[in-house]
Amino acid sequence: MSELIGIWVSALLTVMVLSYLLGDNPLYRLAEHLFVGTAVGYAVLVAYYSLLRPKLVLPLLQAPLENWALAVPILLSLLLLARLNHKWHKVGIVPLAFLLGVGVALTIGGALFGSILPQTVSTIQSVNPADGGWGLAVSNLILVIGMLSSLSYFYFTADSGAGVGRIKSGFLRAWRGVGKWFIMITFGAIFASTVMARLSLLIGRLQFLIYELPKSLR
Amino acid sequence: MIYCPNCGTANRDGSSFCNQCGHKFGGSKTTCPACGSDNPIENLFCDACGAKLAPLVTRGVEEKPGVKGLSLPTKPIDDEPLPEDEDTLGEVLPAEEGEEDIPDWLARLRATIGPENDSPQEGRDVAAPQPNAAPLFESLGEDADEEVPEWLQQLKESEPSAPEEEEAVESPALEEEATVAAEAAEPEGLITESDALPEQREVAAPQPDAAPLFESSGEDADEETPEWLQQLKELEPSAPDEEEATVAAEAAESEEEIAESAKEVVEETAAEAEFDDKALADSESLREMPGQVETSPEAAQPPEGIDILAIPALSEPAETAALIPEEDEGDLAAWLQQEGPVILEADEGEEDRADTIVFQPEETSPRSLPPSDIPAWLETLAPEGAVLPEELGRAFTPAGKPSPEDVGLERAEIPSWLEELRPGHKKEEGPIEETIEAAGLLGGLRGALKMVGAVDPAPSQRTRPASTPASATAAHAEMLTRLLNEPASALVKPRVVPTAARRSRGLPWLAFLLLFAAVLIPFFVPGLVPGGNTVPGSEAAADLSSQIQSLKQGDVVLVSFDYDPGASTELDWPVRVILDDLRAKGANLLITSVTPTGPGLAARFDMGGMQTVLLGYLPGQEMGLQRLATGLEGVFSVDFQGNPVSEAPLGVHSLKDVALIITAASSQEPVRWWVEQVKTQMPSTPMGAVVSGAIEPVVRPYYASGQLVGLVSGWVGGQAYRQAAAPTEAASKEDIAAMEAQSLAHLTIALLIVLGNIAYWGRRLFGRQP
Repeated sequence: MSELIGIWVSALLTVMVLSYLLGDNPLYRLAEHLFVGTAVGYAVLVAYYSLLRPKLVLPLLQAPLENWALAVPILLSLLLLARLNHKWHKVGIVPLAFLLGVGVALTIGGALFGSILPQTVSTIQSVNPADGGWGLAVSNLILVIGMLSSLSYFYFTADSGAGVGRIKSGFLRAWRGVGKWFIMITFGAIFASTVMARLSLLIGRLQFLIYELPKSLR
Repeated sequence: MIYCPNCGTANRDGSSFCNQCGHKFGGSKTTCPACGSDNPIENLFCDACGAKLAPLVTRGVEEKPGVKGLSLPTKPIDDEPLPEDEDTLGEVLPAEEGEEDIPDWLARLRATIGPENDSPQEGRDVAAPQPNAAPLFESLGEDADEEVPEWLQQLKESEPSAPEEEEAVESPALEEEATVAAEAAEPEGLITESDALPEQREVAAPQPDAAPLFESSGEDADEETPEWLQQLKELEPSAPDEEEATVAAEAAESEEEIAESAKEVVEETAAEAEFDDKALADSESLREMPGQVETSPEAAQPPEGIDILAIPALSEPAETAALIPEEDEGDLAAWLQQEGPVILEADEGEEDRADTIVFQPEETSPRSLPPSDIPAWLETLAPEGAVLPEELGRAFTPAGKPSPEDVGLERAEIPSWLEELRPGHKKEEGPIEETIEAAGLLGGLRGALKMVGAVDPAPSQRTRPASTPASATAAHAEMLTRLLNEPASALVKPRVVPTAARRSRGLPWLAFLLLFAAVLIPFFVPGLVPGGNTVPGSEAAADLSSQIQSLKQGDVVLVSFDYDPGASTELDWPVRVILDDLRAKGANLLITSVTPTGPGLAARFDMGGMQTVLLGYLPGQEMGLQRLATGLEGVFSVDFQGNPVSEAPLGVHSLKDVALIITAASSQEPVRWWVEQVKTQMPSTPMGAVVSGAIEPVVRPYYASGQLVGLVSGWVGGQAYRQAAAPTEAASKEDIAAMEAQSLAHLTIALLIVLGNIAYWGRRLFGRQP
């Protein structure tokens, strides 16, 4: 029975969300608010039962002396609440600084060794057809050209003087034009992927309404 | 400097009273009449609103010139302002009325000083020269002649030269009467010398004939008495036999002094006239005008001329008549032309006016002096020992002096406009007429205050010179006026939509309907798209499938559900395909999530046939993943169902025990976190990703660099994975319909893009700009 109710509520909410095609209306707003509220409530409960209760509350209740160090995160958490008070909001900077400091340190370290260096190394590809054929060579060449031209598009301090500077400026302007086209193609691909993803969502909802809802009526 | 809030006169710091008007400085603060804020007493302008705190001196001194010049009681500056039609002496009375009440010589005198009254500053100091001080002008040089008014020049020319006639001054009785006349010319606050502060004494009008006063004052008084007063003191009639010599000496000395005084007065008049023009423009000039703020004792001698002429006339009418030059009959007053004595007449029938003395030129007799009233402010000047009248209507008589009645003085007739100038005189006010405001913000209110310039406006609010606005400004002002005057309905114009825009308005709806039909039709017409349920082979999906195929029985695969319910429609199906493949390979599952909603989504899948541990939500994002790479027990104490992780059947204590890591994400961040925080610490552990199609372009570089062993992107990737993992497995009816809908939708979108570009370029090629 609960599954049947769930299916009908899901179908009703799906129609309410799709009603946005006719414009903003209270039904859509109601479904939107229900979705956000349910998601937040669910996240709070999950955070409590997955983190706070097993890692903070229960250890302090069962063995407070052994877990006295847990008072530090409690104190930092309470200091975060001081951000809500205008008079004491500066006190909340301490836990924020702690969180941001650790987070930035991990992000920089992870980004350097997990993204920047590996991605840079991966662009060093051979353009020699003898290594992998003409196709791979052209693909690698396009990759290199696209990377360099896209980076040069964000180089805004080109010399516009006379002589060599003027030649360099003209070349850089043309090179930036190439990079702009690569960037536009990339954005187009991302947009197309997004459209495809949203179509999948629409198809999934229609699939639910066409196949799952009739099953519940039988 | 302290500027008097009443008259604007500059006073020394620390003064308690104004040296000009006697206004008491109540405190160290002055309240701004415009905004009510407190300002230091030294302020000329309000600190808050910029309004002028010290009133313009031109306001109060307008009434003075004719008054001082006549040695008649003056009206203090702080008195009630005159009505609008009495701002100047020339406007006080109509011409006919003035002729009726004012003697000819007074009217002529007014006419002479009238033009100068236009400048209030001039008018005040014009009072210093006395019309009857003719003998004093003998010593005036040519320069003085150029600067002295015409009427003064005439008096100078008509100055009598008979010294023996001045013996009339020596009459003690008449001298006392002249004292009364002189004191009547002084404001009350200036006469009370004994009560005055040093600053006040400095400008107080001297009492030339206050002989008893000098008797009572000792040597100390001599130190504080102005020079001219000292000279008068020396002239005090001590003995009848010395009077002639004293008067002759005094006349000789006073001629020079008063001549200098007259010159100074004329110069001050000219200087103050210039100052008056600049006063409004720059208040600082107030401090630079000594004649404005401080009155020299010489310039403040009001009654001398009258004293000199009146006293002999009262005692010796025949001799006094000789003072009037016969050749100037046309210019002199009638009473002077008649060669008769000057009569100070007191009207017995009007006791309320007895304190004012007016010349009556028409009456040369009788010579009786009926008792007259002595005002209170004049009684304060009474020297010690003087016999004050016990009742109103009788003039006081100093001790040892004959009363005015005894010498035949009569009460004078005082014009009404002069009566109003008397200090302390209160004009009878009728009922205040409260008018109703006709328009404006105060429209309909009764008794609203008039918008008069009670205070000088702030410099920023002064009227600026008129200028011609620019054409653009005038056009804007005209437009604003028109908009304000037009009704609101007239301003709302119907929106005109171009025909081309009207035609193109329906195109988005047409595209939407086509796309919706392309999505919906495959569910009811299966097989509409040939090969629609197959997708091109995906190398990334095949690589992930190959990695799963390489797993051994019982290997632990960690699957992280890092997407939200909104993306579950897109990602549930590829994840289900992969889980089915893992089940087929006999792998065990370790499930977690970096999003709070992930464990709930994972719990919906059928995990039958596999040993599964649902660890639950991993908080901390990057920090949580970095910690997870070091060990499971330090991160998870219990699983999603509350069971201790240490008792989990998989026996996994760290990620090193995991054969494969698969993250299913709807955004790029979880994938990046896994790669950057976990993959960098365990490079030997293979990692794959199942992502939404929206983020596939930004995740693919990790696959290209080898950090991800495989990548499945949305439904298309799931289908590609299915084709790679189990090419012979038949898809379900629902899956085929969904894939065909996806393919047909993609075809429709491509068709719309092509048609749109054709239309765009066609318009450009055929000259119709879109």
